[in-house]
Amino acid sequence: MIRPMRITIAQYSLSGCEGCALRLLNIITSNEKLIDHIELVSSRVMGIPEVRQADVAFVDGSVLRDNEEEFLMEIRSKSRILVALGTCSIMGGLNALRELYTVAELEEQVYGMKLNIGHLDSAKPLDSIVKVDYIIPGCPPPTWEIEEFLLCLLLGKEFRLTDRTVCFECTSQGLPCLLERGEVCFGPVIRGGCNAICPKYGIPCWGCRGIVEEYGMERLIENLRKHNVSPERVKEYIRIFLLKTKLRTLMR
Amino acid sequence: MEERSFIPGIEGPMKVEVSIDPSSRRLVDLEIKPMESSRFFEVILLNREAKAVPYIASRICGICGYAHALCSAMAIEDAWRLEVPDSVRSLRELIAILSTVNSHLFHLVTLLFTWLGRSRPISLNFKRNLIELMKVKTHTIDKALNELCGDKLHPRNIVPGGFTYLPSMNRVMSTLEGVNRLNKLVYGLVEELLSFDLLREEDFKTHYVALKNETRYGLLEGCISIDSMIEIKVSNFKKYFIEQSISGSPAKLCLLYGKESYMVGALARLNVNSCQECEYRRWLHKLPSTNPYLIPIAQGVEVMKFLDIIQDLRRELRDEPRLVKPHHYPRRARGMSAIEAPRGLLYYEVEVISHKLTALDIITPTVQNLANMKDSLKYIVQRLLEGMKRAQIDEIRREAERLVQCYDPCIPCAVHVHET
Repeated sequence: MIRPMRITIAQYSLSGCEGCALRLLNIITSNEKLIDHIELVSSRVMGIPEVRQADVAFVDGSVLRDNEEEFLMEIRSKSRILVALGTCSIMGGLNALRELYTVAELEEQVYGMKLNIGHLDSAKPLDSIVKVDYIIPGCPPPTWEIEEFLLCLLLGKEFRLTDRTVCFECTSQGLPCLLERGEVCFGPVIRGGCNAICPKYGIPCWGCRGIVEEYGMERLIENLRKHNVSPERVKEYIRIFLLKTKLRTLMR
Repeated sequence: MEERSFIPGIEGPMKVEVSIDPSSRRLVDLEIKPMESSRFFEVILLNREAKAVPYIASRICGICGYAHALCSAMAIEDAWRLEVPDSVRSLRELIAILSTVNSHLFHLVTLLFTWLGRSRPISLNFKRNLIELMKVKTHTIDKALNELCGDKLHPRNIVPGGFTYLPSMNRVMSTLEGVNRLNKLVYGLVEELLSFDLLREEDFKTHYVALKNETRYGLLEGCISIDSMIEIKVSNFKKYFIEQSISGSPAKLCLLYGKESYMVGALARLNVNSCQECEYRRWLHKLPSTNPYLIPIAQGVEVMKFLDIIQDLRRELRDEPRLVKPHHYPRRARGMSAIEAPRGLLYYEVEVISHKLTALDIITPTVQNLANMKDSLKYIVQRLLEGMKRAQIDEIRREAERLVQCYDPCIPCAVHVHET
């Protein structure tokens, strides 16, 4: 039974696709178990753009412009608990790929001129600027995990992410191994909880939930080599979500 | 710190700055400012294997991710000269319709929360209906997208040539059985929206551009129609529609013939396709409609229409192979695709060398709508100034904000993809 308590929630988006925000908003406008226990006090998309005091602030996206740092610090100062929601907010995600170039190069290539609008050279994850209390990883995070997090808050229980790997979840469903077929799959070292949704739909795991098995990385690289996957292909797929991880360092 | 008073109720941060001369009650200047950082997708997508392109392109936007995935896959197929079977085409059509219904309903619900929540308390009964609608949507539309593509936000299995995996179509059909329950709820939602007298009656003349398909109200196939008078092939898109940079802004503008603004999206689609037989067109009073405040209502009409089409497409679902590969990859080739994303026409142009993407140009619906939004805002603000004895800043701000919200702009799309 859920205790009859209410919590206030704020939703903020930094630079990103805002998919994580839409997932969260969809849950809090349609989940019957949660709806009476949650009050949304801030969300630009839902018409409340102001930063307000809240029990929990969910922040998606990463810091890509200088003005977003101050915005994030204001959010932190008004939130009891701050949750980094989604890959971009935790490890930069696709936003981190800008670090392979300079901002001047990127702006020149895309716009043919310099914009001077405060683009940063790197994608800063939230914990490089403020204290983050919880992370919910994924691109986007699974619905069940956000619901679980909210239920834990309401019940006063500790929330923990699973330590299982995607590979474990994939093999336990009896799915064919994509790595053995010569695909670049990082499933053996990536955090599960997603129910191996990408391998299930025929796409290898490219690591949106981050690395959980650090000591397995060298074995994975060896395994990829054994299946005739070239280092260039491995690097190409690290350059989706895992640019800021040790896996990239190992592949240098 | 830069002021972050962005327009509420839209996807992505954006400001509108209006300068007025109070003595002459004339509009001096009006600027639209998307405030998001660029993510340079057009660079990070280059030199990648084609099969990963739709997966990454869908991350441009959290709500039109499906449109980016489908359009990028279709442009690569065009470059490869690869014909996909009818089973792939009809399933893609269903997916595009489901994601458009999802996007429109989310927009209508956020609009109601934004408008009504600010102007007066939302009645408990009405709130219950909204929650019921979101619940039914979750159990039908969202669930079907989750079943079909692994996730309702970012599809996993869409690749050039078809789908890497599909579940049993029986399972998909059963998730869509409850879709009928949405009709009544959406009907109530639109009637509610119309009853609040929030939508001004305006007559703003502009050009309307959308895909036109002779056989059905299509989202993925057809030629590009301008005002139902000129029809052009997708391959000629850039001869008519010219992109322009704006100094100091992460977004661009796209203009017809390089000089005139035009509208894309739900209202443009209904205007171009007439939809004489559609019983819900009465919500728009007349078609073609020249009132941009009626864009959300046009989205409501489309949802009602699409709920019927879903039932037709549901009957066509069969378990058939749905992935084809080219016999050989071209050494170097260009391909184009234009589809109707929820917010309007989306255009992809690619260059591939063998199975790798080497050049990319994306023109999103919001980039095409930005100039039109600016022109219609100027028109409305000037009309308000002329109609008032004194310039009431709050009313101008409220109406400008409301008009932008009607356009349903997508700032993450507008600032993240440009020609390279």
